Amino acid sequence: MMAVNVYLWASLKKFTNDKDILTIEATTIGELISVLRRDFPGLKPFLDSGISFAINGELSNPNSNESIPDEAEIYIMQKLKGG
Amino acid sequence: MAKDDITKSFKFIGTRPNRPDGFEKVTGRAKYGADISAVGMLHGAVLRSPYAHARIKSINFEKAAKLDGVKAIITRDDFPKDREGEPLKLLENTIAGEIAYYDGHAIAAVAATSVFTAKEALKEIEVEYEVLPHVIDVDDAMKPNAPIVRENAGDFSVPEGSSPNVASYIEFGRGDIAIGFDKADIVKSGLFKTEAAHQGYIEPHACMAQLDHNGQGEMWVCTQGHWYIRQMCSEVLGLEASKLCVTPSEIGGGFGGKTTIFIEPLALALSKKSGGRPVKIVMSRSEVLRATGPTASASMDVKIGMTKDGYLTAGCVEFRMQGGAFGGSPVSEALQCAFASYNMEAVHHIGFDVLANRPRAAAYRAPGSPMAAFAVESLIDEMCTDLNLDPIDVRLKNAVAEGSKSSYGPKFKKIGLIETLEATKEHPNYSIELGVNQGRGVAAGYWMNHGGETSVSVSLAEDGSVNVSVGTPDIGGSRASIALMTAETYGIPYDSVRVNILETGALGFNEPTHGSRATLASGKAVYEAANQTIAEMCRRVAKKWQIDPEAVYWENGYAKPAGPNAGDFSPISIKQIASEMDKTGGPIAGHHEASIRGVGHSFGVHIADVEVDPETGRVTVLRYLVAQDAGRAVHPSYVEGQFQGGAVQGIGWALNEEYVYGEDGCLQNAAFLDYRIPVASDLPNIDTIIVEVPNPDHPFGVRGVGETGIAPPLPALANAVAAATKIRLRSLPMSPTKVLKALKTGNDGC
Repeated sequence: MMAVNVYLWASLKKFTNDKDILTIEATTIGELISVLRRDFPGLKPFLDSGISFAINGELSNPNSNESIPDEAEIYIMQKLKGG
Repeated sequence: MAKDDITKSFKFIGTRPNRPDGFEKVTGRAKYGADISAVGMLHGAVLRSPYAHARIKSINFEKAAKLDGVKAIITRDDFPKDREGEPLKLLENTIAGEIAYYDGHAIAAVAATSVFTAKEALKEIEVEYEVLPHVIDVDDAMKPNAPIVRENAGDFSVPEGSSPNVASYIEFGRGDIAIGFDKADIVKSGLFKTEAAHQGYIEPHACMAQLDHNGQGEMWVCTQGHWYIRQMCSEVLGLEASKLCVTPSEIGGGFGGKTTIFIEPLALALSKKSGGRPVKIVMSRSEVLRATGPTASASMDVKIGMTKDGYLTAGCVEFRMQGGAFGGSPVSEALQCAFASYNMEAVHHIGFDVLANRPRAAAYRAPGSPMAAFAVESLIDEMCTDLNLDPIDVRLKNAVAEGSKSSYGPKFKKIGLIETLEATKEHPNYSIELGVNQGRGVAAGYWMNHGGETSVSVSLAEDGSVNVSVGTPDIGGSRASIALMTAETYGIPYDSVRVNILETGALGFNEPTHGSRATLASGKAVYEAANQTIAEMCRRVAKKWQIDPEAVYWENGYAKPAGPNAGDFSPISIKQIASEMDKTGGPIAGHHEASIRGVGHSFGVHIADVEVDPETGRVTVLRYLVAQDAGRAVHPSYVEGQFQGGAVQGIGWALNEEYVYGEDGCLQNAAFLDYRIPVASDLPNIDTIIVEVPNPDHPFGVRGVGETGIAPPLPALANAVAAATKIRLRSLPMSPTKVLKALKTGNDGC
């Protein structure tokens, strides 16, 4: 299984052993979220609060079935609001 | 002309036909939220708190219930008591429980046979309050001894030791800030403040709801997103979502303010309590201003480093935004937008979502971006002035482009900020000579845009015309743009397409028309659905010609043989195919459901010329230019309309609009006479430049244009006023009173 770099906002470091870049083994967004929940339980309220992803620069709602491309750069952000 | 490599030529995209809903709207035939009625309908009215913060000790509605014509009275006791999390916040904001958290907070509601009777009944409801201390200003709310708005309201993100009024905290950045500032020749910082502003939609909130004892109901409502209304009402009332059918009316403006619930659960609860009779509630303007969702007020510290030749080296922001009593300010979006237009090695962002005794903030056009732009673009302008640098040249030197890493992390795909800056610089407005007391301001703005959950269907009528069904209410011409994209896809006339906006039972879930997404997302989905029907038409023609489906292709409304090897057949029109549907396999329809990808980031640059009257402090906008990358302007007139509308709202926010609270914490200007939005006579013609750097991830290059236009006006006008007066105002609005004070004292308004 490939490893991808997941970038979190710095204010979440307190839940991730002071790291804001995590290397996670996952092939789909669903797997990625599961690993984050398992390894960093403090992130659960954040993950449950509504999040958006940027995968290789493309912003989107979370889709657990979405495949993660090789060497993807993934940012997890708060769910975006629009007017 | 599109500034890209896409050489497609379009037949319909880029033309300016009349909007399909135009006739109904200009003749008054179109039905808005308040226009619906039903047999046996009751009228609802809402009792609201006269206090900014008060414990509700008792509610006695015995006298009100005895009034002839009163059919139902509800309080919080009529709602589920087991809600938690976001549904509880929605419920609390809809109707107060033990505590009224802001002036205008709903306390009780009445349904009666007439509006008059319902309002009379409100007067007979006796409420005993215990007034509590309140806090209105965001900085006051963060002070150590500030009144606590709601106990234990902070979420997982709030650092230990924070004010109890901090609801959430966010921090992110990259690079070494200290090194970044060391590289700078000039480092400046400043405090900037903006006041809460309302979206100012002309149509007040209105709905008619019917709910039976078994939880089955219907609702007619003016909203940007009827699936959101269904979801939120179901969560608040404990209904099964599929049993509530929500139909959107036409909408007289929303701008983000109609993406959540206010009166809708009250109407449903009143209907249920009255035995299932339909109940209509229409808000007054005062109720809209007191008790719906304006945007946040903000207090923002900014520090920026720049080299003497205009390169940005580092930037820090700390934004504090109050989002009302239940949180929800757009502080994270504001932080994402703050430095998004620029390449900067080192950036650091901190944000606080702060509670105050005000109504819960709702989205407002590019939520958070205008405040961020005001703070950052104002400070950059100060530095340009200090260093005698051209403000557009400085922005060009630092502008992000394809491949740039955004200030919040992800890399940009193809974007058009540089092209927009260049177009702005070439425009005549940038070189017109200015007179005495006049000044020119330039500013850029950014919005990320949004795709979102989308479901559409497309079907052929028997005469070859096409019905398109979408779930995104038309708030800015999306029927026209979707019809144009449909016509382009099929190669049929624009007038042969009808775009319908359907109720919640007819399509899968749709996010609202928000995030500048309707044309982008519904358009992309319709393109996919239409191509399903085209493939089916080609299959049926292939059967008729007895050739492989791959040997048939679609062009300009006709199925055609793909080449000489396919056979010698005369093209068959969509009309003929449709007329034979019943004999060739039945109806032809397509649908598409997805979380739409391929969002195109949006950048805009504005130039404002103003004149400041030194005797009165009045700021007159002399001329105004909006340049923005639309990706592709599907219907240029409506793109220009979005540009102009955003600019006008930004001008209002910059110069006049603000929520004014008294010492008692009550809103003092809950009417359009006192809450001053711009009218036509306040404004010059808003010139526009549509820059087209097509979004490569959309079939027609669309980015979405609805929101970015409201971000640059706040700093553009502040920069223009500073140029005219040589005094920097760091607090909005720049009302005549504030400008006059600044002229006399040099006070920056903070």
